[in-house]
Amino acid sequence: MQTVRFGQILETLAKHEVDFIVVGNVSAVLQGVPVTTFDLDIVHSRSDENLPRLLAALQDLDAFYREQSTRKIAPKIAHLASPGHQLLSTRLGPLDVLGAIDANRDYESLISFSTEAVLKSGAKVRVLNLETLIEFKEAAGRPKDLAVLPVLKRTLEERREI
Amino acid sequence: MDPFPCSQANEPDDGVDVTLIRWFLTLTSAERLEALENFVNDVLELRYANRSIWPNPRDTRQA
Repeated sequence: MQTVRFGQILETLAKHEVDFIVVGNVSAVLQGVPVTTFDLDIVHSRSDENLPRLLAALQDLDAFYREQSTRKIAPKIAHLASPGHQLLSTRLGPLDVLGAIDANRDYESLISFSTEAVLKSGAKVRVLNLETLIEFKEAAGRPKDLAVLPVLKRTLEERREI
Repeated sequence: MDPFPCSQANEPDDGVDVTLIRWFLTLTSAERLEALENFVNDVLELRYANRSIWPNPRDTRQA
């Protein structure tokens, strides 16, 4: 049985100096929202400098496409250069590597809507801020997004009162 | 009589447990991530222990 280690996945990405933003429910958790999720979503920079660093980190994590049950197919630079979503399994748990989200919002357009979170080692990672996460989930309007909106909004209110 | 110390009588009735939010906000980001990992791993362990009862239809390795 695999053990999930989201923190170590993030540490590995940080170690390889990958430019990325944590999005989705893990970004909410890092900012104090008590929700759960079974995968880690990141939006990465698709710059020429960043893609080799991301690929090296994914190789370090033994990443492969999780939909392929018969054989392990590893992502390549060309996959990571696209705005598509690479849904991967790694030795430390599921990792969704997203070229863009919400109608082509990529790393460069999201970086100003991100904040910083500190990992166990002291490494810092960028996370999509709660205000923007709420906007995206409202716009997406899917049942799974709408379900977490009350707790996201209440956490944002609580943080403002601290 | 003093009110029950965990009362949320003055909170909006949206079903959100604000005490849980307040507790989670006292943790560091690393501690929050660890809490999530512990939860996920406990659930996975339970699922694995009960795999004969709750089989994953997509996992062809299971009977």
